[in-house]
Order: sequence, then C-alpha cells, then structure tokens
Amino acid sequence: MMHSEIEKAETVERYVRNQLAPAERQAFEEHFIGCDECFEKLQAAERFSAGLHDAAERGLLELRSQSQGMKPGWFAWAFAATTCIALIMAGLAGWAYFGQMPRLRSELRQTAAQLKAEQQSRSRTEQAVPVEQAEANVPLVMLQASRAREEAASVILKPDDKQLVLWIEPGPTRYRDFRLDVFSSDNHLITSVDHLRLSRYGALAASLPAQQLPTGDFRITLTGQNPSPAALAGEYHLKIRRP
Amino acid sequence: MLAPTDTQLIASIQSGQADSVAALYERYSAKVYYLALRESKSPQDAEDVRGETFLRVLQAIRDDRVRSTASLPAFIIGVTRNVLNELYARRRQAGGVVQPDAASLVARSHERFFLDREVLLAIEKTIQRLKSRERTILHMCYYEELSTTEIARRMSIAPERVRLVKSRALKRFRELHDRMKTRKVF
Repeated sequence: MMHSEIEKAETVERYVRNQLAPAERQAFEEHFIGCDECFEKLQAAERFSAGLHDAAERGLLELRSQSQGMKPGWFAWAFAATTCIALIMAGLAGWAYFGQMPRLRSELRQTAAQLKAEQQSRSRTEQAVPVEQAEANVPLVMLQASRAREEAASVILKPDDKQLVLWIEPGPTRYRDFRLDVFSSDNHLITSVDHLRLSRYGALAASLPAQQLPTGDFRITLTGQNPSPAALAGEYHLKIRRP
Repeated sequence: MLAPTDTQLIASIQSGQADSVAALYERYSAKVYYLALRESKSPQDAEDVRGETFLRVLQAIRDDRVRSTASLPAFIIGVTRNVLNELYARRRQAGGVVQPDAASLVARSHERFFLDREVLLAIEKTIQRLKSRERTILHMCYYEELSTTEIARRMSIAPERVRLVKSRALKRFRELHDRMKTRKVF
C-alpha cells in the first residue's frame, strides 16, 4: 500500500470511522503495523476524531458556539445595529401615525370630495349615475388589507347617500396607477374603477355609486397597473348596511 | 546508530539475545495494543491480547515458523486476530454477544480511550480558531458522519475545500497536542 494511495483515498480517516471494506481494512492494518509514520497519523486521527466527537456532543461545534473567550462576529454586531435602527424607526413611525392622525383625517375628507368631482368627469361611461349636486357629507370607509372576513370594514349607507368613498393606503408600492374591483359575496363583479392614483398622502380614494352597493358583504381587490406587469396589490372586505 | 531491521531482530532472537526480544516488543507493541483495544473495547482485554500475541510470535520465531522476515508484520497481525477471535469465543461462552465482525461495526466506543486532558484542551483551542463554516464542516464529518462528497454538496463547495478544512484543523490539533505533550514530559 503506497502512501500516495493512502493519502488520496483518505484511508486513515476512513479506517478510524470504520468505513473501509474488509479487504481494504486488512491491507491497511498490515501496512501500518510496519509503518511508524502511518501509525502516528492514525493515532493523531483517532485523537482528533474522538476529541471532535466529544466536542460536538458538548455543543462546542454549534454554528454560533459562544464558548468562553469567543468574540461575537461581525454578523452579530450588524444584527444588533439593524435591530436598534428598526426599533428607532418603529418609534418614529408610531409617533408620526398617532400624532398626525387628527390632521390627516380632516385632510382626507377634503381630498375625497375633490376626487369625487374629478372621477365624475373622467369615468362617465363606467359610472352611470349622474350627480346633480355635490354632497355635503360623503360617507367614507377606510379599508385594511385582510384575508379574514371577520375583520371587514363596515359602513352604513343612508337612503340619500349618493356616493361611498373607499380610502385605501396600500403602503410602499412601485405602482402609480391602480384598478379597484368590487365583487359581491357570490363573486360577481359589481363595479370597477380604473386609473386610481395615489394622493400626496400615499392613499387612494375611490368613489363608488351608492346605489350599486346593496346591503351585504363585498370583496374588493386592488390591482397595481402601471408600470406593468400588473399585479394584485391588496384584497379587502367591506360590509354595507342600510337602515 | 540505525535501528535493526526485522531480519536482524529475528536472527538475534533465534540466537537467544534477550534485548532483541525487547526491541521487537517496543517496535510492535503499541500497534498490537491499538488493534486489540479497537476490537475489544477493553484496556484489560487489550493488554491480555497483546501479551498473548507476543508470546506466540516469539515462540513462532524461535521455532522458525515465520515464513519470511518481510511477512513479519502480516504474521503479527494474523496472530493478533487469532487471539482476538479466541477472546470473542470466550466471551460468547460467558454470555457476551460481541462477534468479531460486529465488533468493528459497533459505535466507536474505543474513542473514549483517546480522550485525555491534552486531547480535550487541544481540541478546544483548535475549534476556537475555526470559522463557523469550518466548524459546520467538521460537525458534519465527525459527528453526523457524512462523506466528503455529501458535505461538499450540502455546503455548495468543492470536495477539495472540505478536505482542506479537515487537514488544516487536524494539523493545527496535532501541533497543539504535541506541544502540550512535550510540556508535560519536560
């Protein structure tokens, strides 16, 4: 048995791990019994293997082993820094959201009224309901993306309500234009609104003719259209009640 | 002065020189003991096997039953295996269940005999200097007992890289262990 063959075939390690075929094992034993160099390597491999096996059982070979004296690597520091930044950002976002809410709600109603007027002039073929005069208080509902019907937004439409404004904040998105589709509970398409654009507050306001929305549950999908390719941006549930 | 060859040792033993017997024992003793320990998993049995093996080898040399001096190592291995087989037979008669072939397939419980203080210290120091991926490779090799090819596939690296990690870690371990042993002796 040549040393080069032993090296290439990893014979020493495989012998220690009982992975040699009987003939190979016998040949290696007959070799190392007369070879001090290979026997030394064998003894070292046995110690090494035994030591590593013991170390693994004690958890010293775990990926993030934190035995005494080990310093955390760069990854740990980066993770800690990222977590701190995320917490700070969350705090700022919470302050912005809860601190700014009253002002946003009043501006929201103003925007909804403006948008209603714009959509009436643009989508006369889709919306067949003529509006003779602007309504003073247009019902508005804020939709939250959810798969659960139990978490559906709800609104009560009065008999003299002509329009319902749906307010959606889709969050960070690459889309500029959206299409909104309204489906009944049995998945019939009730109405659609195209070319919805985000307001300067990052929200969409879609005005729907109230007479197309009877009492019931509705599913609303928001599809990002531009730039292509189009993709579903959100799904919402809405309950409409009438007194 | 060069160590005597096996041929010279055999000739000296046949001519009755006692120090040649000691030289023969010194040359092969550790290897026979290692084989016996690996198979029997018992230091006491390994000592017995070693003793019995050398008695028979010496008797065979004096009786000129060793075919050729070149075959001395193979002859010693053969005698060791015979003695081990007799040991297994005695164990079976005494109610033990270890078979010769099964003994080598049993979990490597002889490992614990290699775990002395210097080994444990050297291993800890070796591991401390390893990167996390290198520790993972060694874990897969020596604890999960995966092949080099399988480790390379799972880690998406070349098999040569796996071998390199193992050989570097082993080399480092040997250096540390030898240094500790030297310090202990002196």
